[in-house]
Amino acid sequence: MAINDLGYREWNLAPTRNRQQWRTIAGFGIRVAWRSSWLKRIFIMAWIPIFIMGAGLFVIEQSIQDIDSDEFPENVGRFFVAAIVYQRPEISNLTMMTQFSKQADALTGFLSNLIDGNDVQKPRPTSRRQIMRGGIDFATKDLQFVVNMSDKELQLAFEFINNNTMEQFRNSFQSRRGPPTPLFKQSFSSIKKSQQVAADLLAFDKDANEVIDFRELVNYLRPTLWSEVLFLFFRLPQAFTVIIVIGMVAPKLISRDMKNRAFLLYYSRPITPWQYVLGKCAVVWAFLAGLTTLPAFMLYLLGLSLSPDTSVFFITWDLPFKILLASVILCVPTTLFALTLSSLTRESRLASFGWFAVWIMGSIAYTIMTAVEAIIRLQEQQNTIPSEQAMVFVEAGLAGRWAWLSPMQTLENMQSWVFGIEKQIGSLNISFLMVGLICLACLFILRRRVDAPIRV
Amino acid sequence: MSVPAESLISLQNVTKRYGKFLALNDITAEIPTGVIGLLGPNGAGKSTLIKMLLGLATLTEGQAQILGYEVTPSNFQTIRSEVGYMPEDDCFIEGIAGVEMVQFAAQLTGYPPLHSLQRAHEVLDFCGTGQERYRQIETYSTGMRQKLKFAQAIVHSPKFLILDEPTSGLDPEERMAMLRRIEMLGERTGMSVMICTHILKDVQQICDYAAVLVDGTIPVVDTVENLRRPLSPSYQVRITGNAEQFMQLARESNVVPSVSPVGVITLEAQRGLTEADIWQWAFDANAGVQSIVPAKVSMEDVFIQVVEGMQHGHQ
Repeated sequence: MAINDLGYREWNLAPTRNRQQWRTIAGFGIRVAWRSSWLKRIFIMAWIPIFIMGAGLFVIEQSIQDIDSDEFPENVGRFFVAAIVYQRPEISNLTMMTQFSKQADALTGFLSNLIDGNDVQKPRPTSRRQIMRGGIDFATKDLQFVVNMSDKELQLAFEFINNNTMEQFRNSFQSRRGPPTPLFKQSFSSIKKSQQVAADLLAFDKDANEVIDFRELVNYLRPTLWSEVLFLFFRLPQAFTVIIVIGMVAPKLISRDMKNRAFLLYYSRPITPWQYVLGKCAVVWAFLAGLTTLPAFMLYLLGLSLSPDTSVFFITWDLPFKILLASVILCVPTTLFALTLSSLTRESRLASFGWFAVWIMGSIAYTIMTAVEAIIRLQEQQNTIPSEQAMVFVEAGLAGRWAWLSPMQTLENMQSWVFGIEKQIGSLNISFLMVGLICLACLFILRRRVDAPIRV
Repeated sequence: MSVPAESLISLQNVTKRYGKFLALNDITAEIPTGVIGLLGPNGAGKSTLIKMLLGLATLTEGQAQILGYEVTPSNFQTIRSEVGYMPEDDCFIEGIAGVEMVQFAAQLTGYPPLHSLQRAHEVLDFCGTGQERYRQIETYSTGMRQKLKFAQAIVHSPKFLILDEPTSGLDPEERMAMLRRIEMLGERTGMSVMICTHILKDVQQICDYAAVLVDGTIPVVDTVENLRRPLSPSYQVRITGNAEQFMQLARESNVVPSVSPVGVITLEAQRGLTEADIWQWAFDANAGVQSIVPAKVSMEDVFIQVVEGMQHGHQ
């Protein structure tokens, strides 16, 4: 007999945690899942990128700090930042669009000089090498010229820029092998975005000089750079670990309860089906928060603490909220979908298989449908040269008409919207619609399946 | 039918259909507080009745009350807080130890984690589980799982305990221990217990009342004492000395004697048999009386009589 054997005695303690039973379900679910050593290993792997990306943020911030320095090695920072800034489509487009203003000025100068009989000096566009060496700056009147451009003029600019880049692309494509990158061709919306950036830069011009210098431009882009680092964190390493971890944890949560008839134990207690669902969702959310939200916050704090300039806090204060929203967008639909699969079978292996199959098959279907669309277009166009044929594939990829087939692309579109990064492939509205419909359908099925044992 | 005024379960025209199959057929019954045995052949509707009382199955027609609460969705949470349920099915939560499952059950009822753990150990001690409580449930034997299901059912100190086949899968020693625990719960704490079982000896041994469920109806609810009382007066007698002459005197008075292998003489009379008659025959036969006990009908006989009575009624 145990030394503390008291026989049976009544328990007069009143229940204090009514309506919090979902927390109990979540707590036990987390405890059981966390016993997997593979899960622990994945967690360790998932936290490594924040140190790499934190170091990246430090390098960017340190480079911005030394942006005005002419001495080696500090001036390397300016080159580094200029490279980052110029690779941005809206900035490279804007540099080309401001050339129109300069050429208009040159024409005016030419005519006035012709009348006055002076020598003509034609302005030369800024070369990429100059930009890298000295950074980029914009005259406010050039920016104003871009802001005032009508849609028709923007359309002309769009065609000019694309012809120019197409030429570069063709040369590039013919001179080396390998697939072309879709970023070579700009969409019309990116030209409109450049016009918006011009307006924003004019509003951002704090010293009200005639020129928006490179430091001002960098300060304007700083929050975007931080957002992009965090988006990259969500997009690449975390999105993949999230898929693996959900595939390991979620399929067992409901299917095993069904297999072991644990529903009788749950529902003979004062809990509702919704509390059960919430508890199970919370198990997955806890792991996802540990994989995405917490490391993203850590990355943000690491970036802040490593940044030599404290002002960065005031321009990136909204990022924690964006991290939260991006986490919700990533976690809610994926969790609901995985739990729905789990509720459909007593065999958790089948649910796991279904989960991974949806991600893999979705991406494959998206790629195949895009390729088929491009092939149909190619059949309609006769006598095209190879570079133009490749361009059809690039355009089909950019249009992203079938992006909704890929869960990865759909979630990526929504997260890029949260971080204010315009890298959506396909329509953002369709992405939101798809995710919304899936969430509603999953909630409906989950409720029906979880409710089934007590609906007889 | 003699049932005290205080009802544990009250059923009025309760009907439950699964499609075309009628599981419970217009039951009207009052089940009293105490230790009750719910008897019935396979498929009689015992488990359906229990699930319906807990809100785990919906009521097709009629009204039911348990512990004074109407069985309606708005009362399910209260009912489940005050009722403990040990299911017949082998059900458990995979991946946790026995003590964790009992703690989990207490927490699900709304108790804080630390108190729940303490209480889990307390009831597991009561149930006689030793160090096995720290093992994963998947590794448990059937008997251990029965104990664990019992422990989770009583962990929150319910007012009413429903046990579906509590002794199935237990060896004789464990079965007796389980029955003692149930009996003690009824006696010491005043907890009402309903035992749903095929093992009629269990009911005979520990129950105050018995209800028999046949073909979706409850034709009999009464005290076990009343149910086991024979229709005609009869006694079981142990005597020393001249047993043959004692039995001869009994026969002469139109009483039918029979002797069991252990020497107990059962006396059955159509009417008018008293203890004074037995003493007189013993005196006349020059025999000594060791014991005189009124004879009782076994629960098996009661059960068979009720089932046969229902079948004849249908015919």
